[in-house]
Formats: sequence, structure tokens, C-alpha cells
Amino acid sequence: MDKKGQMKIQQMAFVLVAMMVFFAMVALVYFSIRMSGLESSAVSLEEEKAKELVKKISSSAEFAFGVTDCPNCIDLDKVLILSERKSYEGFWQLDYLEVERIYPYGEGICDRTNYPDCKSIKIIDSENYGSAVSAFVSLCRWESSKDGYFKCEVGRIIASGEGLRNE
Amino acid sequence: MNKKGQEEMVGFVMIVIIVAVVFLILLGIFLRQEPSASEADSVEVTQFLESIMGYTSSCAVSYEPAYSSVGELIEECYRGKKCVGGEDSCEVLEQTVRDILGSGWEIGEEFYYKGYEFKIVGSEETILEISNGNCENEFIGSEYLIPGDFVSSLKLCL
Repeated sequence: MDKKGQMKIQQMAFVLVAMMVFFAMVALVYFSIRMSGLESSAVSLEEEKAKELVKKISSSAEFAFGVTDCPNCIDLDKVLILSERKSYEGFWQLDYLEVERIYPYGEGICDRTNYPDCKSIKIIDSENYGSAVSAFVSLCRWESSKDGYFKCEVGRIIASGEGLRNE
Repeated sequence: MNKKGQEEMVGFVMIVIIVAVVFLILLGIFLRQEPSASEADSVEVTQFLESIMGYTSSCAVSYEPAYSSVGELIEECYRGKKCVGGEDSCEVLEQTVRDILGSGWEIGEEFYYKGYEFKIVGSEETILEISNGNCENEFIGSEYLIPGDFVSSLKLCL
């Protein structure tokens, strides 16, 4: 009877240990999946934050289009002049800052000879810069044809550097 | 001995049932909490929609050069207006949006995004619907409200 009792206790102990191991494994699988999900959502949050920061740069006085109430608009005429002024290079603590026209399609780096029929304006262009972040914006400018009017196109602002992380 | 064997079996079955129930509860919690990629909201898509709405189209309804933006053109299309040049505002709207979508995203089987679905909906009807590529799987997307009770939405399919 004593031996049988010991056997019973042993059986119960084995079952308990097996159950503990099983629950531990389930918990491990569950938390590993949850952690990987958290990691990817943290990365996407970081990316989205960077995009918002790029957008913030575009709403600064040096870029903003003040003719209409348009928080998403960049004054492309201002940007062209800004790209010619080297004194702004350290202003935003960025290694790279570019405004690119997406639609309508253009080719080449913009300067006074080919503007506005060009693709991009580089404001800051260091040789070594990290991964860049971009945000879609409206590129507005004065169009002199047909008596003149303000024309907005689709583009993006691309930036990289410390300024994006320190904001 | 027979009775004892039965007791052991009942005990074993109970343990199996408890483990199965706990496993099902954990699985349920996991499936409920994991956000679906198909519901992912994208800041990038919102910014893109906002930029599209600001684009100056080639359609002026009253006089040239008072060209309407895409956001304004949606209302012109809804009201069935024509451009000064005689073109239908809805046709200009569709062509403009189609061209911008084509330039803004690389779509195709060889690219990251396999397809897209763009929609502009008014209070009662769908004003514009454009789709391209394969949109059967997960997607990222966003909606953008346009003054005049219109909603534009874009889904980029992975």
C-alpha cells in the first residue's frame, strides 16, 4: 500500500512536471510571436515618426508655400533659391535634403536653365549620409504661362541626418 | 483494479481537456490581439492622398487659368460640370489621378506592391474607382477626407 502510494505520488509529480513544461512551451511560443510583432510595429512607428519629421521640415518658413492655406505645400521657387545658398547647409543638421518632383515626370537636377522642367533640387548633399526618409508633398510654384497662375504638382521631400533623430 | 483503471482514465481525460481548453484560450487571445496587416494604416499613403488633392489639374471650370485642384475637381465632377475646353471634368479627374498613381508607386509582380485600389466616395455614390494589379492579399492603406463630404482612399496591396 505504501509502495502504491509512492507510485501515485510519483505519477502525479510526473503529470505536474509535464503540464508545467507544456505551459512553459506554449508561453514561450506565444511571447516570442508577440515580441516579434512588437519589434516590427516599433520599427514602423519609428519610420512613421521620421516621415512626420520630414514633413515638419517642409512646413518651416524656408519651404512653406504661403499663398494659399496649404500645410502640405512646398514653395518650389523658394527651394530653388535656397539650393543656391550654401549658408543653409548646417541649418537643419541634415546630411542630405532633396526635393523631388514625381508628377509630372521631369529629368535632371534643377538649375536656373532647366527649371521647372526638371526632376529634383538638392539643397544639402553630403558625400556620406545614412538611410534617407521621404514624405509626399505638393510642390507649388508660379507658372508664367496663360497670364500666370500658381501650379501645384506632386513630389516628395527626402532627408537624412542627425536633425531627424534629434527633433 | 478495473475501477482504479477507470479512475486513471478519467483523470487522464480531464487533464487532456484542461490542457486543450487552456491552449484554445491562449490561441484565442493571440488571434484577437495580433493586428492584421490588412488593417495597417499608413502615414505615407495619407501624405500621398493629401498631395494628390493639391495637384493643379488641366481643367478650369469658370475661366483659364483658374485651374481646379484635384480636390476641387472631385466636386466639379460630382456636379457634372465641364471644363472650359469642353472636356468632361470626370474624365480629366480620372486621367489625372491614374497618371499620378502610375508615377507615385511602382506596381507589379516584380515590385513590393503588387497592386492598388483607389476610390473616391461621396455621401451617396462612388465618384471614381481605379484599380491596378493583384489585390487579393494583405494591404496597407489610408483614407483622406475632402471638403464637400467626399472621402478618398488608397489601398496598396502587398
